[in-house]
Amino acid sequence: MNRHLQHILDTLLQIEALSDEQKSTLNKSLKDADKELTILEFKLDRTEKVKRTTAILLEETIEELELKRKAIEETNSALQRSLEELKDTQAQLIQSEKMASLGELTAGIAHEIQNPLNFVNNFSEVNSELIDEQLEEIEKGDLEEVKELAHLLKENSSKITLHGKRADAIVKGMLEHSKRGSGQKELTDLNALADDFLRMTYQSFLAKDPNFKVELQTILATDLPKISVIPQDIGKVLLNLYSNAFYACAERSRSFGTSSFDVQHSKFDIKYSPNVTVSTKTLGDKIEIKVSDNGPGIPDTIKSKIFQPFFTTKPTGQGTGLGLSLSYDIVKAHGGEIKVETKEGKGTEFIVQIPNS
Amino acid sequence: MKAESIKGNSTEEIKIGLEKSMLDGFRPTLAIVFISVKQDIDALSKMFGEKGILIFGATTNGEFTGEGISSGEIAIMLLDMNPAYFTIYFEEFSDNNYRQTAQSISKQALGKFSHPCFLIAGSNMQTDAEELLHGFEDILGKSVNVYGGMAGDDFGFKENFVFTNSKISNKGVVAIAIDEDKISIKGRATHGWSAVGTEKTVTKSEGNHVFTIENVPVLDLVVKYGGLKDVTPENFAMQHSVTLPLQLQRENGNSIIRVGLVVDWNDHSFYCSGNVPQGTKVRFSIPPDFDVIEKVIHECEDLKATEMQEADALLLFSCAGRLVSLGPLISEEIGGIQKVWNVPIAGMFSTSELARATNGNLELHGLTACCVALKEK
Repeated sequence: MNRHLQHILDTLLQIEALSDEQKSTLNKSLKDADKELTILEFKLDRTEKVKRTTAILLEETIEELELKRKAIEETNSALQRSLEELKDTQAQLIQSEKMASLGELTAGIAHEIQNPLNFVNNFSEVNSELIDEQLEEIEKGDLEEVKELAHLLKENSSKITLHGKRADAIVKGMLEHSKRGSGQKELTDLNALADDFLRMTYQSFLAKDPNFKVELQTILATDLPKISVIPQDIGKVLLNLYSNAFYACAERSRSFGTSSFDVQHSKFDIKYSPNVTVSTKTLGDKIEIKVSDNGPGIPDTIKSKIFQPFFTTKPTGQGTGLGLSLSYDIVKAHGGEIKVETKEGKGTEFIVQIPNS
Repeated sequence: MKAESIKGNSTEEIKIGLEKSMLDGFRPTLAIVFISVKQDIDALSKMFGEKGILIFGATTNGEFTGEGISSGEIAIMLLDMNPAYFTIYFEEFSDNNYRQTAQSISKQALGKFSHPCFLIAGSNMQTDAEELLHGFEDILGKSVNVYGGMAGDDFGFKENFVFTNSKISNKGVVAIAIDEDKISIKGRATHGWSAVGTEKTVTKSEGNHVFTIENVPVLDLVVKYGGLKDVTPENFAMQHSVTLPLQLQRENGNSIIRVGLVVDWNDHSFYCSGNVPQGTKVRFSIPPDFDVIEKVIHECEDLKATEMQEADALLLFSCAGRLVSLGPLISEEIGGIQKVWNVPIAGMFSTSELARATNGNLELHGLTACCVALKEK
């Protein structure tokens, strides 16, 4: 028993005036008090120990949390750096893709330039001969003939200028296309752009696959207004869509070719005629460009992935998997949208809608 | 089945208590004995043998009946269980054959009863009691009822014993196989310790020998968190480690307690109350608020409501660490548990407990109060 309580008890028990019953009651009360005191002492002692331990652990926990916070901060910085590197890499990839498509276009462009150059060369040669003739006529003094030859020379000179300008426009277009990044928006004739790129892309494709034949169809709205776009970017979208369309048709042609039925049997009369069509129209406040082909179509299983970067069905080395992804980004950047409608065995149609504002 | 608990400080006092209990015609057949290593176990065994009473015995870190707690004494639960309903098995371990030993006991019991259940006690600080439990499960399946505790030696943590009539071992197991078709036996283990601090990894351990946590010797961590200074083998009390046990974190959310029982001062490692696999995630734990007593009692009330509406006798294997942590309040816990069924109670402060936690598997526990209710059908 607590010594103070024991002292009280001893003192009380010595008081003769208290009855035995009273002493017994006091004894019990003091023992109960002693028990409660013991419990309280125990609780206090344990609480102190737990408090001490909790404080130490809390301090350690705070330190660990601080370390974790710093680690997270460092991770965050590293992620930020990675993100920036990623953005740089992405920009480089876009440029690479642009240069790759420029390479693809080279054959088509060369073909396009060759025609006017031929005209320029031919008319230059003709003019040279005409000048010789004119000199002879001057010697003869036949002024009428000289005048007529001068008219012909002027006419040919106009043609040389015309074709020279055409070649100049093609070269400028090529330079525009190879320009890096942020091109400026300008009022653009989408019909002309769609038509030019269709021919150039086809010529490029032919350069790689001379046996490929396709029916090209253009259904261009005559009332299509010029709209403000970055022409080299939209040209890039068209180039990608056309390239894919030609590739799809070529693939289907090959599969028909390899099915090699006996041509002697006239019953087996299925003949595949590749077709790529581009159409334009005005849809209220939007301009719509559709590029459709009658290739094999896109299977449902991969339809949702075609706009993902680096997704390609082409064999390794034949496609970067960035074409449609970049096209998607370009159209989005113009405030428009790009959709695909496809049916296996029937063909594919890409629909690009760009706001007319 | 009638039950009576008796208590005494010598074989003589127990003999008097036994004879007094038999005055009304009570004829016990089984004595579940919780006894201090200080007592004369041979004399007690002989006395019971002469009375034709079979013994299930274990030494303790303190013992109790409904009359109160003692240390260095004897507490006994007497039962007049039909001898056809139970058999006592006693085995000594050799070459750490814990699992095989439990398998052997299970097979023997299965030869006697269709549905055996067990009360067991094991001795020796090195005994892998989890392997014992696995041995029972191997033969009788996961749903087998096994309850009990590991023996103690009045907080010496050196040498403890299990015994039956004329047999005693400091490295063995005593088991009562009970016919569950005749006697219901249900139990539950509850601890209530709260995990504190951050989750840590056990970086080196072998079985129940834990060397390092986060590459720091486990004793050094206990000393640090306990706010202790200048610790030596002479002044370090095991209660320091008992008040800062490890809580093993589980994927299913249930946690299990492992208490450091013996320090290896060579490398400041701990021998714990059960296995702590290397790589385990652990947190240190602090004793619960004192309302944990209510929680334990509530768990017993839940056991009564859901599984065991009535009981003939109540056994309690309460971890020695609870005595350290709850101090004088432990009496309230024991009294509260007894009041749930209001039947005779006897028990011991054990080194570890064997039971199921709520909705848990059969496991070795630390710092739990494991109550076991028995009822003849």
